[in-house]
Amino acid sequence: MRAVGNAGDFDSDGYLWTCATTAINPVTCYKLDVTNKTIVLTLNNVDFGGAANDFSFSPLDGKAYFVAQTSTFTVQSLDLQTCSSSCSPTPLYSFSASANFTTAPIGTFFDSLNNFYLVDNNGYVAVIFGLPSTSLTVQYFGNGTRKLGERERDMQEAN
Amino acid sequence: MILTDDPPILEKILLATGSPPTFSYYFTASGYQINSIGYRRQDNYIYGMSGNNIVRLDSGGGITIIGNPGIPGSSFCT
Repeated sequence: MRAVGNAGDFDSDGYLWTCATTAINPVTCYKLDVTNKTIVLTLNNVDFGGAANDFSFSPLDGKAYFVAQTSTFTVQSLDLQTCSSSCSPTPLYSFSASANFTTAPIGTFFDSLNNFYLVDNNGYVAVIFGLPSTSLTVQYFGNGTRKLGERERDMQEAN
Repeated sequence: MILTDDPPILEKILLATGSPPTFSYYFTASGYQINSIGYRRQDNYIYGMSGNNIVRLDSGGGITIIGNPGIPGSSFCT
């Protein structure tokens, strides 16, 4: 997921959801059938509560979870499967940039145990345990042995 | 897995408790800007959006343009 704006993930039924998640809300989301190249559903009024660079569907409740960036970072959920004329997020947990997590997440992922993984633009990784409750714990893994973007710069210099 | 910036490079992140995450190069999707990626377990492919087009990424780094499903306007995903 690139850091500039658009988010997406597959739901459990194999449909790709993609949303233009800029700082200007509400935004438009599409539910896409990738095998038949068709739009299954258009949601024109989805509020992410801030800029979000990625979302992932929870295997536990099927809702979309993401981190919206305002003055802080807020873990929020949206029930894209059931909202229609307007979709509003549910804030669950806020945290600030720190030495453990430096920028808004650019990528998110759920494992099969419903643990929510975040990676920021500098390669810092955090895992949030306990969703969808608000009694959450966060484990920070630090940043990677190689920061994101370094390989791109290497390639550009090689060319 | 995540796709980093232009050119998009798919990276695999390995996590182990007590160790920093390891980023390993997977492949480069040269010539495309791809967003909204996700793994579709029904067919074992990664899909994403390039502009208004659905694209499919295979394990060797090949990209298949599925096409625009009917999204209006220009460059919905940039």
